Amino acid sequence: MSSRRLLYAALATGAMAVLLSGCATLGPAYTPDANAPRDKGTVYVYRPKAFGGGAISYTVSANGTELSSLPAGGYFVYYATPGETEFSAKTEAKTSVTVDVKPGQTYYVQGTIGMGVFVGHPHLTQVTSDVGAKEIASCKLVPPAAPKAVAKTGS
Amino acid sequence: MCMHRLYVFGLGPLLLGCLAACETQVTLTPTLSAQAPPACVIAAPLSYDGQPAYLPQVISAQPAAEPATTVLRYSYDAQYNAKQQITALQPLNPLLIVGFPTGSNAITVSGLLEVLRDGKPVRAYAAACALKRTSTVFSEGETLTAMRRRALFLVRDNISAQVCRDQQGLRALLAGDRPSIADKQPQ
Repeated sequence: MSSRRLLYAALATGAMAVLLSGCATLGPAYTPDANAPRDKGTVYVYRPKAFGGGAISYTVSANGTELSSLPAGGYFVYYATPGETEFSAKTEAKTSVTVDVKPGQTYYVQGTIGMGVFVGHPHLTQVTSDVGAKEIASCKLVPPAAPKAVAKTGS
Repeated sequence: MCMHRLYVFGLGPLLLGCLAACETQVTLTPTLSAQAPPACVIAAPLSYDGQPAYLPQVISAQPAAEPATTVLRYSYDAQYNAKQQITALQPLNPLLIVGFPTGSNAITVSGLLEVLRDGKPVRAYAAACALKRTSTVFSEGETLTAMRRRALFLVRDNISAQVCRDQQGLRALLAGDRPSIADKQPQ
């Protein structure tokens, strides 16, 4: 009997660990960035909260360089070098979207999560400024992780 | 025997239908005739700030010694449209295991080649390409990056074909910028 209880406790602890591993501590609520360099484009990468997949977080890269993780309800800012910038993410499936960045312009890349076999599939797409500005208002800043903060500005 | 028939005539076509839906659907306008256009190269002053690979290959940028009155301007635009959210009832759908679509990605790319005289368009060649694909729990198919690139190449080649079909008219228009040649044009 006690071994069965122990098994239940272990399973419950494991399930909680899996669920909470996707939760991230987010920073302050969204405020428009005012520090964008003039020779760069400002890209907001955000992920609105949704019904499913909230426990899953994925890492977003720009031209192959890891930028930040993107949990549900989070956003981060990336100053991109003008030209084509490919934003990508991967779990059991890969997603990528290319943004044609021009200096001084602002772009919004929206992240979502779709169904997968073992884990949700990440999806990144570029949305219009109207949609992006409206949806990002309910998101909170993803605190930069120490090694990835270096990659905030495009090369 | 009956179960065997059910598998062959029931689930088989359903699976094939779902797999076929994973392929990217391509729509390109305008539709040109199958006949290959004559090869041509149009040399003219060019205004273009995009990737060289996306420029219609029939255009050869010609440096202008002085500000030209007639120039070619090429521009393109890409619009994304993705629907990929998990809905409340989606995880309960049993057809997901046979590849039922879980979302869709679409991109529309438009390209425009304009002939500008004194800053005003006097002739234009346009093309648009729409790509759409659905995703399943097993596969996401082409990424939006790959779809965008493919669409830009299709638009580029379509505009190249349009230009070559109309090369006589375009050459006459561009020659109008050079007085020595324009004077020889029949009225």
